[in-house]
Amino acid sequence: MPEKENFSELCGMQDACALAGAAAFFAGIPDAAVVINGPLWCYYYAMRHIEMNEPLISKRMLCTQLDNESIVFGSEEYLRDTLEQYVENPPSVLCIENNCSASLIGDDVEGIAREMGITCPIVVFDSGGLTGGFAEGWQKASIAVMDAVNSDGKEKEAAAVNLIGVTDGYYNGINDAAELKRLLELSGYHVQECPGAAMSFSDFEKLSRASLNIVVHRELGLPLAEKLKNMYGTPYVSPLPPYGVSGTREWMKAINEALAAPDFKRFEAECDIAGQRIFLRISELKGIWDELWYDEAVVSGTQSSAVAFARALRGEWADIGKLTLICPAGEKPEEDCLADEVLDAAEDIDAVRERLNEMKSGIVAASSNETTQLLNFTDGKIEIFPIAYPVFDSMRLSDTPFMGLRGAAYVQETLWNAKIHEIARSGAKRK
Amino acid sequence: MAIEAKRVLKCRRVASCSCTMTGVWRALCYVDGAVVIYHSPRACAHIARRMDASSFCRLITDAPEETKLRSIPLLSTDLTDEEAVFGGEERLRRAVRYAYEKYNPQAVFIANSCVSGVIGDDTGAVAEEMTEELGIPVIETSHHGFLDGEYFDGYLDAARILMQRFMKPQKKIPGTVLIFGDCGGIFGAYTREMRRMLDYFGLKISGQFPSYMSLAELEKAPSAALTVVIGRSESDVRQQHFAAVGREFSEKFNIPCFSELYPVGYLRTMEWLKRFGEFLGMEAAAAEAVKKEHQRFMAVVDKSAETLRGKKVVYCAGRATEFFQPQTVLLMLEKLGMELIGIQLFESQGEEGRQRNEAKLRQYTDAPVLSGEDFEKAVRESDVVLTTHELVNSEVRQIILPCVAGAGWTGEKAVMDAMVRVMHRALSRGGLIYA
Repeated sequence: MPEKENFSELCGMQDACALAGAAAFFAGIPDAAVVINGPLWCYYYAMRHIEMNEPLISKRMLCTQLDNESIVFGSEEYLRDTLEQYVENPPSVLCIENNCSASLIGDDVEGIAREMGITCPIVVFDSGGLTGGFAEGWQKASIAVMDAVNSDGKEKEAAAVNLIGVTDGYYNGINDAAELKRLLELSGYHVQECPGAAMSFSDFEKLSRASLNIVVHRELGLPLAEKLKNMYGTPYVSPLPPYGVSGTREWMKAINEALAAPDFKRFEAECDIAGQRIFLRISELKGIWDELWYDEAVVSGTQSSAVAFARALRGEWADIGKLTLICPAGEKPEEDCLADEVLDAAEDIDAVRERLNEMKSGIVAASSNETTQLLNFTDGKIEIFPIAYPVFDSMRLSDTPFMGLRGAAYVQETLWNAKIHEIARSGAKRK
Repeated sequence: MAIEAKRVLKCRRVASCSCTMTGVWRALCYVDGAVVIYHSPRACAHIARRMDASSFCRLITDAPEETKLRSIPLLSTDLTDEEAVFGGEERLRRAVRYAYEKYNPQAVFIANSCVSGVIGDDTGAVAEEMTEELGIPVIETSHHGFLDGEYFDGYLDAARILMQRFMKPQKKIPGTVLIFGDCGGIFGAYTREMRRMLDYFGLKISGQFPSYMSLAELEKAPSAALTVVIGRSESDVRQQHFAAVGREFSEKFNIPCFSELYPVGYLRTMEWLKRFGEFLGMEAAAAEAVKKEHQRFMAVVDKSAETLRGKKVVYCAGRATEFFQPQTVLLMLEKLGMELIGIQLFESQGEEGRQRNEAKLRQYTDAPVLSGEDFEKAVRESDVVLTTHELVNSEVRQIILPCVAGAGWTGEKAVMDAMVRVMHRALSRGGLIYA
């Protein structure tokens, strides 16, 4: 190599654009409207990401449809056309995101919107690809929205917590959030709010009441947690997301250490019951179907989820010959993920490609970006468990989480059922 | 619940909603020996990856052979705010050197993003400089993201470069045809259907240009005895530009080129067979082909009509005028003996576009164009709705018409099959089927 420098390669792409991340944050505010100040193409791809969970988002996510002329002469006319409907009927908060090229021309977007007489809070920022990926866009949106929120802190509630850094823009994100809420409430906490995840704009003021902020996905939530700490003095914790029964125990333990749970014993009791139930049921099946074993496993997903999922996969759910974690470019994990090999999606791209191309059997817990690189994808010997967007090869309609105790049981049953069916199919073929 | 489309994007000034870079990528993605560099933020390559992943899954059912193909390397220069301020030319140089060292390519293609266009990088100068330095062609494609073109412009640009710079005159191999165009790829339904129709004339496909030939194969592409340009719509200006590239190829290498018509839909397939036969001087073979195709088509129509005759239909359309071809749907409904009770023209193209579509419609039918309550009433009375845009109402039996029509009369067959299936559908399951 001429120098130690990497350039992103197609097969290492795991992410979506910052435009999608920022739009996903505001899509998680049901009374907000989002306007993409950019071309239809960028808008369309951001919207398609969000549509995977919110099929009718296009009703409140619009586009100024910029073209060459607007980049040369400014986007004012285009903005006016698009924003006109919000003069009479303003949403509770209006987000206007500039894509890359719009961010370079420097229009006073907020000034134009204000001058039109739009009365609601308006949040304007640049969030195209120059900003980064999904997480960077989400972060930027979550910080920007706080500038439109009343910063006077309310009195804190003793056992109140907020969940920070959860989103429907992550695969199964809202179902996971619901399970985390359930577990926290089981432990006696009062879960106040989840910004960017079905939380209305007026509720943002209530964020100050929490005694602790719990960051679920660090790559999303840490900057907002830091901002809330500065604004309201609220401390935060950011343990790895809770996959598996053990992972869930560790997660809740970290929270309990930061803010004592009013009813921690109740949580522990449920953990014990869930753990034992899973153990005994699986033991019975093992007598018939042998152990859950994978020659190879590849885990690739969003930064903190992939690490935590890999830990649970080997630590709790299955025996694995070789476990490979593919982490987002430049984001090698701090924690031990129990993997035999940790590959960086950019730096180790040749090894990533080789691993996926040569895999013959085992499990891939990832997105369609990875599964569609499996040369043996259609052979039926590789179990696919989607954990990140985009997902084109799996259907998910139910509300079962992947995280927490319910998630632990769901992942375990899914893996076992797939294994049993695979053994049954190959047995039938041999006959 | 009101009858409502899930998503109707109202196009304002622009006719296009795409980007030139993805067109460049599509034209080059299987051209072994080449490397593509997006001079762009990383996110633009995210989009290409997403498109490829989605396409892979579609191909598993439509053209599984293509899922075994591996695309060539695509790199991004990963432009950031820093390059936006200080320029990205140096980073592009480094990316080209990186690609050269790592992949030892025979050629490097650079696709410009809107960002490189706005910051004013002189990509052409960098390409020339790197050609000199590395001794291989480093080629800039001429557009910049969405700024000065759309998907098809990028595709066309890359195709023209491949033709002009990598093909060489060859001795002709009789009976071989070079397919010019994509339409779902070399293993896709269009090319499969084309192969079947060429069989009537004893012709074999030798290759498909541009995406499906390596740089080494491209050199030999002019050995074909004949070129057939494929496409969906003769009135589409972009397709006309592509056909012009086909004719340039034809003139340059002295290869006859058939590009005046596309066999999409029953009527145009019949016409294509006749005209292609005349073009080849094989009128008898063409007449035989027309007869056989008609018999096959009518057998499917008669079978479908057993279920569909007398049923009431509402037709909803919202595509740009150049892609709006109501004659295909209307002829099919007539042959099936179905009753068209109304038409809805979605407002995706503005009032002017709607009027153009209505004028086009009036050439073929007097059925009323409906809106508001009349439309709702008609949908409720209908047995089936044929629509270009998905309706959110699960209780409506609706067939989503494909965005790109298939070759031959496969499109009509898919719609007829879907209508028959939806008639047997328990509405409690939701009445939507993609044709």
